[in-house]
Amino acid sequence: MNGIHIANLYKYYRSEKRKEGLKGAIRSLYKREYKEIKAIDGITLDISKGEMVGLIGPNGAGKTTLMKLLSGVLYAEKGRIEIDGFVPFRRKKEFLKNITLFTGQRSFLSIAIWDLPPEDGYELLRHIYGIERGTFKERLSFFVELLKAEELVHKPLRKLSLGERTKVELIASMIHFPTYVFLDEPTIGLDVLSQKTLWDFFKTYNRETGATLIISSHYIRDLEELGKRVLILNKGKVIYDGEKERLKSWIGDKKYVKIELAKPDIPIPFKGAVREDSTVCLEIEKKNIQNFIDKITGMDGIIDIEVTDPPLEKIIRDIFEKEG
Amino acid sequence: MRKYIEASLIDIKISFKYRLNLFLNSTMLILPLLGYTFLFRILYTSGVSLENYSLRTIFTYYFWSLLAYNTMPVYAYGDITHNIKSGALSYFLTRPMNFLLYYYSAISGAALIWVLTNGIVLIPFLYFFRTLFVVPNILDGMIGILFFLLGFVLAVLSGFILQLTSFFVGDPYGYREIYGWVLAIFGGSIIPLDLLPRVFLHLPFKYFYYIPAKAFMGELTHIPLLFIEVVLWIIFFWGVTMLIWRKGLKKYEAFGG
Repeated sequence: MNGIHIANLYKYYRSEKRKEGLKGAIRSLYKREYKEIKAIDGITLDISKGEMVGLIGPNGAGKTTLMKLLSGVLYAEKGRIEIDGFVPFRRKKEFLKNITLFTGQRSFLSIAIWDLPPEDGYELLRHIYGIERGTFKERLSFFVELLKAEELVHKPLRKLSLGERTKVELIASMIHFPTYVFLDEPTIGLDVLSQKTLWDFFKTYNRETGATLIISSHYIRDLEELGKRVLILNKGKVIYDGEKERLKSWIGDKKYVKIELAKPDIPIPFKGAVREDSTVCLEIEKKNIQNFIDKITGMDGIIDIEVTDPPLEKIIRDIFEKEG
Repeated sequence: MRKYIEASLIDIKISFKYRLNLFLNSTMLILPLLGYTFLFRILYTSGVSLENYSLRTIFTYYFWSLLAYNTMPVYAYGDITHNIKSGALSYFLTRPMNFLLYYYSAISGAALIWVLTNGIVLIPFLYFFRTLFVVPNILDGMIGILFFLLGFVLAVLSGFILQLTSFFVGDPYGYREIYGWVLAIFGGSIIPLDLLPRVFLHLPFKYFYYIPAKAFMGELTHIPLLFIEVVLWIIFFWGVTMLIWRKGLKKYEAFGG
């Protein structure tokens, strides 16, 4: 069967419950208590070949665990995963040749060739995937050009910046042209320009190769960049599985504004403002943002203004309310 | 197979990157060897002797056993523990490769360079102490290399077993030190095992330092029997390694990676 099929999937972690302080540390020497954490709590879903799916959820929602279960790194206690008929945890060679797991910040090269230039790592990967030299050269130039990484592949990895390292690591993760790409918060810690390069890269790769991409993020702002289909994960459960546009219409046209004041008693003449010491939060219609900023910047005692999307927690609350 | 050769080459390149460390590593062999030489010279000139060992044979024994001690990867890289603890193991598990074979190749590449650099540093040292060193004949040299290589495989597997326990205990540093001392004593790098109670000669650790040293000295008897025994130990250690690996993967939580 083609595509990804997940049925009644559960993954638990056992975590030590340690009491705080010296007393707790001494007690843990002879008596330890554990609690079970449900990282994945009964997920069932199907993803077709060629889809680009966004996976959104707050920290600890189970996004990374799901990615690792899909790529065969983790063993699921209960449930079933099949990708093109393969069970990921069995890690058959034919399966591994067609997938990749990319996590932002560091990856395979950082472990295998930290002191050497990425090109040495690519050569190792060429042999790992059994790629013929001519094809390998073509692919490498394709990725290097797409990610603008010409200069980077010859410098020792340890001398590259975080953004540069992410690019060369991404090439290492894609050099075998995988048909299933699991990207776990791939743009974390990157500047806006690098993020844009990566998002464009993912879209081009999906379009040109027909590969299936699952991309996780805990930023609602990444919604724009993700594929048509979005999954929202919360406490190990899928609480939303549907079109991005439908979700956006739920989120509405509001922006969140956080104002930091020089003194707590400075009056803020806007409806619905919630004050906490020197910080004031309020919701503003997107169309009124410019007008609002013009007014607020003319006021005295304003230290900082931050305009953001609604917090993910609020969206999750709204979904629960709307979906019952 | 080519991927594992490439893994060895990567480690050789990394070793060359830190060339000073590479040569300083040889001091780990020369300094203890000098210490032993001075100690035994004093003992022998004052009339003390160690059973069948003359000053020449004891010097030669320590030369070979310390060379093995300095080259055998008994800890099989702390990287394995680090990879398990930090979640970096995931980057290997998602690729069509055998993680343990990859590390075996990487360790072998590094060890080859250690042997060569140790050799370069040792030549002038041996020339200085040439009256004390028993040069092996070709056959003994070949048997020595064979047992050294078999000991090497056993040492890597033994190191794997230690490092893979990280799946269950987090970090095996507590017993890593004990293990180091056990190997040094039971393996024969501190005292030749034939000077200790016979029980030490029935343990697998003798293949790490004692047997290769004795083989180079041409003092091994029952060679085919020893060969069969070490192969059986390798099979046993490999079985234990695979058991821990398979059980460990089911427990692996891949945090951080």
